[in-house]
Amino acid sequence: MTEILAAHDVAVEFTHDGQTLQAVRGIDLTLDEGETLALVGESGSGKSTLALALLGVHQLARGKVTFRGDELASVEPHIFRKHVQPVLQDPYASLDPRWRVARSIAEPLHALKFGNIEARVASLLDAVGLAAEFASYLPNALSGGQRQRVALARALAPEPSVLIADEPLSALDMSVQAQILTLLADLQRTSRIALLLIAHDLTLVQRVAQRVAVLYLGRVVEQGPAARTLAAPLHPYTAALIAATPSLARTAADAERLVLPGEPPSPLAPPPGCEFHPRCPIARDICRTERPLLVEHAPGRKAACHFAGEITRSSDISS
Amino acid sequence: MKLLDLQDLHVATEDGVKLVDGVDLVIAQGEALGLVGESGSGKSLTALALLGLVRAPLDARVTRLAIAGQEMRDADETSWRRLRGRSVALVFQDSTTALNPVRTIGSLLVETICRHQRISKREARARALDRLRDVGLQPHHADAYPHLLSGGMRQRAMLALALANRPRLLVADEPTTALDATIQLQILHLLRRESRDRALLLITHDLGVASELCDRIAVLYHGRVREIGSAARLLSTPRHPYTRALLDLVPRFDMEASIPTPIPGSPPAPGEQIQGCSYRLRCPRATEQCLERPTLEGDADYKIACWNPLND
Ligand SMILES: Nc1ncnc2c1ncn2[C@@H]1O[C@H](COP(=O)(O)OP(=O)(O)OP(=O)(O)O)[C@@H](O)[C@H]1O
Ligand SMILES: Nc1ncnc2c1ncn2[C@@H]1O[C@H](COP(=O)(O)OP(=O)(O)OP(=O)(O)O)[C@@H](O)[C@H]1O
Ligand SMILES: [Mg+2]
Ligand SMILES: [Mg+2]
Repeated sequence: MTEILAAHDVAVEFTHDGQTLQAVRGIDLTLDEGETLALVGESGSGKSTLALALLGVHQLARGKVTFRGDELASVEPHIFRKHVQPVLQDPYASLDPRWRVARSIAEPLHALKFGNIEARVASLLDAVGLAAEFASYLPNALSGGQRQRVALARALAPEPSVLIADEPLSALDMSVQAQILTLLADLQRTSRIALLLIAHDLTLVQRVAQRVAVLYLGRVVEQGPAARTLAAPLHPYTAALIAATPSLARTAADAERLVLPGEPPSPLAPPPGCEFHPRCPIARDICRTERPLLVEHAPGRKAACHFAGEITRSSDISS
Repeated sequence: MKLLDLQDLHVATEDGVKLVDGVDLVIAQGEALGLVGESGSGKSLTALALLGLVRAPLDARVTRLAIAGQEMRDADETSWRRLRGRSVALVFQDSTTALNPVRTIGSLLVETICRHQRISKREARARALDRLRDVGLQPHHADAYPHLLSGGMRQRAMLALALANRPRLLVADEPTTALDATIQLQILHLLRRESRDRALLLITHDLGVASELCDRIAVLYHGRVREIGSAARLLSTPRHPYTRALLDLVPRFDMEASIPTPIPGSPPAPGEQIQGCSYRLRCPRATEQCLERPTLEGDADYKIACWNPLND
């Protein structure tokens, strides 16, 4: 396996009105060629911030990002831009409102001296399930899901080696989702594209990711192979996420019992000890004082919990 | 009492391309109606029409639109402004259009509250903080500008804004797409609480979410309602082949993890004219008869537009 993009102890801070918010607090991650790594976690846990740090958008408070082993600062910007493409969480922000769809998709191609740009745009539109007519649309005439697919087509245009996709399927119905997933799987097979997929839909993660990293309050709290992690999570937060995933079978009464107690912690004033302890069903004294480190519990499986593995079945969380 | 009574909504482009093509929706007090359907089927345009927000070059027409008893078919912008945010509120699918980037979340909330309620700034501010807490945000988020919040936080800020004056009809367009499962759960509870004695129109592509929250579900395809009925009935014994196809694609955790097969073919291109039922070309049950367009038929509890429904 060849590592293509990596975060080494990456930290990102934001300062406002004299207060410092540590959005990402020391994260190590590697992304290999041809693999899908899913990044999941609570809203506000730092997923998008980490993605932007990997893209070189955010200045790092600590640590470094490497592309094919080289620190980002020493990689030629145009090479990086060709190989590492983002799909931003907000597709509205990533498309110029004055540009027609064809121009938005073609834009990254001009710099790369691509041959037949028009044909490439047409095939990309088709690949993401949009009729050729949409080439002449302005973003504000697109539905949410159509816009999201234009943003994806644009990112795929220069044939990148890495796609950093922040909730790229969240506005899509299941049929279109299936179509896009098939497209990405094909790309992975044929051109070994690496995918960092930020998603909150765990059923989706289970289907497409080889590995998963779970974020809570700016840190990775669990990491491992996707199938095993989702079948038998080590960290109680992962278990809570799995339990809370909606399904057709779940009744409203079931769901009522699954709500995590307490409020999401503030990154401005993180709790002492384990950051999850105020909401954790199995927290004990040590959890209130000592922060557990992310350590290996089984081959390839890491968790930051003093009692890792105690809650494995998601049903335990609701009792 | 009906909090929403929409009859025969049409939305079209200047060139006469029909985007929403005769949609009826009725929601009673205490009821949550789910609107599901493929990307581009007209869900958001329907939502915008309910708030009088369909703008040129698009044109919206209805035979009847009554919101909380108020006739809005021929209403002017002044009456809409009085209604919007108070009797009916919308959680937009995208936060960029909904949240003014140069205003803090708190000031947006206070403004919305003060526009419709005669209370002091201080009271309004306290109420704004309550609304933020309801959606799982913290008091300090009141001082934040939208771009300083995460995607899911912005989505919840929009929801707080829509709920600011406890509207009788809440229209929520994919309100939990940016939320992780535990927070989504919390928001679904909030929506259920809020719609208990009022009304909710929930647009979602997640049938799991719809099944948990909605009493009834309407399935939209290419601008038309194809099947509408109680959530329990639609999800257990769907009769329209499109509803069936959507249900077959709902992911399950226990399933052997693999990428499902999409519905064959693609939705009609904009402006494409298809004779008869426009799902015909993708439908495994299509027959000659489908060259004639089926109308939506049934009773107040259940309606379907299909010549060859399942489970008959
Ligand atoms: N430019 C910024 N300035 C200040 N604070 C920011 C900025 N961007 C993000 N934050 C804060 O950093 C934290 C992490 O945000 P981030 O967008 O990374 O979360 P996320 O995990 O992507 O959440 P979501 O799932 O809701 O999108 C949040 O508390 C957010 O308010
Ligand atoms: N201003 C416009 N001009 C032309 N077509 C438009 C305009 N606005 C929307 N449309 C088209 O109307 C159709 C319905 O759009 P709408 O936003 O209602 O879809 P939706 O069901 O909400 O889809 P999604 O699930 O992707 O958000 C789409 O095909 C879209 O391209
Ligand atoms: Mg994000
Ligand atoms: Mg929409």
